[in-house]
Amino acid sequence: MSKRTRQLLNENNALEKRIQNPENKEALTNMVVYIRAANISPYDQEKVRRDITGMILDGEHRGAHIKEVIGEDYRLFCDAVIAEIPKPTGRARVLSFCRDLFLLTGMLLALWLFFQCIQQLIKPSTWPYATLTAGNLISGLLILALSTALVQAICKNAFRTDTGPKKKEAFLFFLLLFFAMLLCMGANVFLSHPIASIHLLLAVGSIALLFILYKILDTKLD
Amino acid sequence: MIPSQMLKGTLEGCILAIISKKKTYGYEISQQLMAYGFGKITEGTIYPLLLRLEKNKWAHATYQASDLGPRRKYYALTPQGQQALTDFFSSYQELSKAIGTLIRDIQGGTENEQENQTTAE
Repeated sequence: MSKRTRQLLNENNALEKRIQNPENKEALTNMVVYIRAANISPYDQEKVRRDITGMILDGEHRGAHIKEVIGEDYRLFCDAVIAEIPKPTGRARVLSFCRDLFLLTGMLLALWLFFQCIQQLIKPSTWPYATLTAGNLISGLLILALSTALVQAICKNAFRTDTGPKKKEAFLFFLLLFFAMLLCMGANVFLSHPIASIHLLLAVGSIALLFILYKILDTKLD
Repeated sequence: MIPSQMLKGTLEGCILAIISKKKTYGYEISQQLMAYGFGKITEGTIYPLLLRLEKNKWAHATYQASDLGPRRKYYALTPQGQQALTDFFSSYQELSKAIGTLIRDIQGGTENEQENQTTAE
């Protein structure tokens, strides 16, 4: 996140705290969550968030209900707003994708290394090398895909929390999560075919490099 | 009350016209539109249009302190916006003239038909 985006984010967090009505707070949260999933830069997201928060606060001071300020359909409003925000360029989108990928891969690699270290401490068989298995790789890819899909699903359904069949959806969600975890564990246990043997120092270096690359892109991109 | 579909195409130009009078903000624009007889138009309807005006560089936004709450976003017309407003007025007058002619023709025609029917009877 660039400096100007972070600054605006902090300003918006402080501004949001001034909203008194819990209903207004909830509506704003839903709108912001929905806008987060849109194909617009985080800086533009924060600019829109500042404007909407300002409108809600102004409305509160006038004693107006949020529906009198935004209108009856929050989703329609958000779609109209998103349609008017300039879309990021192809280059910015590719760089944003790389940034997120570096972070997620770095985190997964760190997690993998942690478990490998524990394994080596209990039973030092290949020290100082750690073995990357097909199961490790498949479960890593699965986690990457699922976490991305999960964030998108939560954001896209931000307005369905008070209308949809909540219990059924929550049950299905946890069922899916349970099977995904089972699949990851199964892949790690049963697909033990080694793909690569990596020196622990090289693994630590790779993780550090991924985080450095992530940090560089994150400060450059809005 | 003006149907929202009918308003849709003209609201952007009307907002441009309101902004051309003086630098103003969302809620004030909605109040002015109401005063002109457009009915109740929420800020939620106006805000995306203001974003479009900004995107097209027809309006320029600045934040100014407010007595009540947080800083307000004020919009002012740019030279390109002034040109867009002139174009809007010209297009609208053309449309209004065409619809006026159509109404006079239809209503005039109906009156003539009624007159003809009375004469025949």
